[in-house]
Amino acid sequence: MSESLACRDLALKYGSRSVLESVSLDIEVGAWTAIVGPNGSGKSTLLRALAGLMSPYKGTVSLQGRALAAWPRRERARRLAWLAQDSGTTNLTAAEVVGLGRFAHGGWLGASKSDDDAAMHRAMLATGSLPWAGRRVSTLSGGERQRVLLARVLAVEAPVLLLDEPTTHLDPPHQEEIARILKNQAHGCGVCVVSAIHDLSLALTADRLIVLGKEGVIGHGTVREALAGGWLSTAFRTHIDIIEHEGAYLWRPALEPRRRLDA
Amino acid sequence: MSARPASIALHAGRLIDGDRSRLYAWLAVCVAATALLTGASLVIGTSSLETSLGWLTSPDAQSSLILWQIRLPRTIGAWFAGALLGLGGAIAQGVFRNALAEPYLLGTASGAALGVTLSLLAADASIGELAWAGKLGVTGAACVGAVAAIVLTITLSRGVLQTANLLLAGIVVAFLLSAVTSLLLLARPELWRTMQSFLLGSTGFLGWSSASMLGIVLCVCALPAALFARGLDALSLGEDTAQSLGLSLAVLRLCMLGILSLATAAAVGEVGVVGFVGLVAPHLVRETVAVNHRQLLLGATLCGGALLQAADLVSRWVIHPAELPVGAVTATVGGAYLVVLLWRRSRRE
Amino acid sequence: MVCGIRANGMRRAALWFALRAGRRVAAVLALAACYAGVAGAANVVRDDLDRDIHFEHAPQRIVTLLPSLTETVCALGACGRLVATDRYSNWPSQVLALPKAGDLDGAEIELIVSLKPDLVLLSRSERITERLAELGIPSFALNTDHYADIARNITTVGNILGVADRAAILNDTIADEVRTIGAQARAARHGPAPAVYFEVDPTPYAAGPGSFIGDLLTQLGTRNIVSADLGAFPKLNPEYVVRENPDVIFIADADAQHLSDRPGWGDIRAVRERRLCSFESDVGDTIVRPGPRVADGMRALAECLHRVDP
Repeated sequence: MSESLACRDLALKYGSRSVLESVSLDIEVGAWTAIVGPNGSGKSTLLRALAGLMSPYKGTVSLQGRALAAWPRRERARRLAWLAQDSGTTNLTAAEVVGLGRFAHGGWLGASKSDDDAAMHRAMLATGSLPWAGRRVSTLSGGERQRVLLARVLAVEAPVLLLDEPTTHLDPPHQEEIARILKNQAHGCGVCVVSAIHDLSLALTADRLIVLGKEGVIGHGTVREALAGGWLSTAFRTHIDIIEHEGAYLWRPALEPRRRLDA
Repeated sequence: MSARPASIALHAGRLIDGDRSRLYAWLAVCVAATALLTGASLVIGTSSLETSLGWLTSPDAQSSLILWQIRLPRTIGAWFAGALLGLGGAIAQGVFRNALAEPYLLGTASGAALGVTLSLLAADASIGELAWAGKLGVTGAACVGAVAAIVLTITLSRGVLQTANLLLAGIVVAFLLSAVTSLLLLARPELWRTMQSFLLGSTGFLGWSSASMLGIVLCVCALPAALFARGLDALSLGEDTAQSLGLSLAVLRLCMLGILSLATAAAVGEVGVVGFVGLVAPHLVRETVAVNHRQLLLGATLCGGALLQAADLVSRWVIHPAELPVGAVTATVGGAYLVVLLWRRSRRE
Repeated sequence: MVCGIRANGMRRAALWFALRAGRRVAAVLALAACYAGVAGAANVVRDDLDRDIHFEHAPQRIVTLLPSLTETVCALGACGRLVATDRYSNWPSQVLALPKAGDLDGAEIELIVSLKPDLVLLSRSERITERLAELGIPSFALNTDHYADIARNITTVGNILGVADRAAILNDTIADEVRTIGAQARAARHGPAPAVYFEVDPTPYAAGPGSFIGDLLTQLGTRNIVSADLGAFPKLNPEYVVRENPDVIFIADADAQHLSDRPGWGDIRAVRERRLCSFESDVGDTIVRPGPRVADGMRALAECLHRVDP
């Protein structure tokens, strides 16, 4: 069992509709794991359950060997950082937003201590968002804003990062930036990074995949294992064409109509 | 990079120079307006300007009484009440993340009105159950009614976690308590006029005791509100994000709503139901200066105070020696402000 | 034709006379025929909504929707003709047994219709006048705001009810009493005219000299601290009362106890020396209703004034 994030026999429901059942996973530390799957397969739901934002119907999620519910709120917040898919509208400056990442460390008063400042600085440096520290988040472009929000997540300096669709609506260069930062966090800082990602090619740049399908978890392993096992094709119920090129895996969209696997 | 330039960059980043100076300017304007309005309210009233100025220089017993026992506590009390409403409005807009929220949306106005009705009925009737209302007096009964309404709302929505439920419950409670009030007034229609005066607001009888009470409540409310303001900032990033940061949504909402109910109850008890101040004050701050929630609470408090002070002044100057209900003045000005806002928005599009 | 009525039988008779006899003779006879009506005068009277109301005969089933009108009808000896009154009519005691047909805010149309009245007396501001007209129920609107309206309404109602002579006597009686009370009050006073403040509502709303109450107070030789240009019932700045420092304050009993709590009011002469006048509700009715008991109301005011400001 990993000493970081894990779940056992997790069952998740939305009202009466069952989303996932009997999910048992060990998230690898020091690696970037991407959750992929078709719409409605439960990517966001699983991620939110792992973050403790949703109570599972059955089963447990454990952080460093301890059940999530057993952790005191503050300590859990220091060890598990979450980036939402859609982060409201706010009037705050970029620096104030990043400063909120230190909330779990400092609390209500928000008087910053020197290590808060240092952490914020490191985070903004890593995301390259220092130049607009003083600007209002609402005046930034999509890519800049996402980098600030990511800096907020990094400022928590938590050993576990959970990100829900961190690259949606971003231009390819920005998507690359985000992916690079996540990879760096995973490998360079030994952080456990889990993200739900829609974009296949980007997901394939991750270290490990959790592939979800209609039936549940199709597979959990390295990208190579996923491709060897044809997990993606099973999940999407159609042949997904992946080519390898210069060490990277790319999805090649097939434009001629193909036979569906279950037809 | 060395630590020093980094922290400088971050400190500067917390509030860029342009915004910082604008915030200070805004605060300065509010303070200056308050000082000006206080001075003006000493000379404006039922006597002409020259007479009042004469009183300031060479006072006699009665003019001293009027200046220092009537006019001054009235304007200070109005400022405190307006500040409480501005604070309440900023809190409501932060908790519900809606720029149109205002302090009465959890049914406080209807609850206060019902409390007043019960206390007025107690004065006439010999019904034993209403004796408590009579003992509290109109002010106390209004306060109790306002707080009871919020408690009822939170109970009805079964907790503070679902804002949609809270808002719906607030509407239901407001209608319910209004209906009960109307039915009670059927038994004593001669109380309608008093009720109407209460519903239109009045700063006429604010003396030193009322003003100090409002001031104390303001301190009691403002300090914890400033403390919890950062939680509202976190909330503005989204509920999930706020929770993941270690914020307890229930604790934040309960504390904020508690402060809101105390602030609104005190204001309504003393000056009746004065609308628009709680809505316009935070709006004005946000339209002029972009701020985080702590700065918003401070700005809205100062702005609300000045607004109600100005309204009080207008209400006793326009048709002196008679006076307008202060709520009518705030409604007129507030309504005009919203019209201008709408027009500017549509022009922008 | 003078009568202009739909009394068909009489008109036919009159026409027959006109055709048979000389025109002038016929006219005189027709006139006489008109006036020899079954139950009194046949009338066209203009009400205060500027409507011309035609009365074939004096009304026998009357509904009144204002206490002062109830009292007027009874003072003219026609109490027996009342079939319903409004909620607040309580004098004389025999009207308490009558069915209640609502008040200024809403009259009970169904009840009124079921009683088949031939006249509904109401205030000018009553909302149901049109509805009654639609349902074919005759109504008559009267202005009841000022002192002068009392005598006018007594005369008008007396005219309608066919007791014009009794109305004249009543008016004279009232005028005499009022004059006497006023003269006595002024004579009994030793000092200058007292400044008075009449509070109608604790907002505060005051009774100005233009109101009915204000008029009574003026006739008693007092000086109202509210000036006439402020209107009948102005909403005052409380500071104004402090400045004017009235000698006597008329106020409801419940509010009288808290007057010194109002900032600055403890220094008002009337409050300091407890020169406050409050009235029981039945006495208060005579003061606020512009009706035939106005002399009683004035007497109550004068008595209290004399007691607190000799």
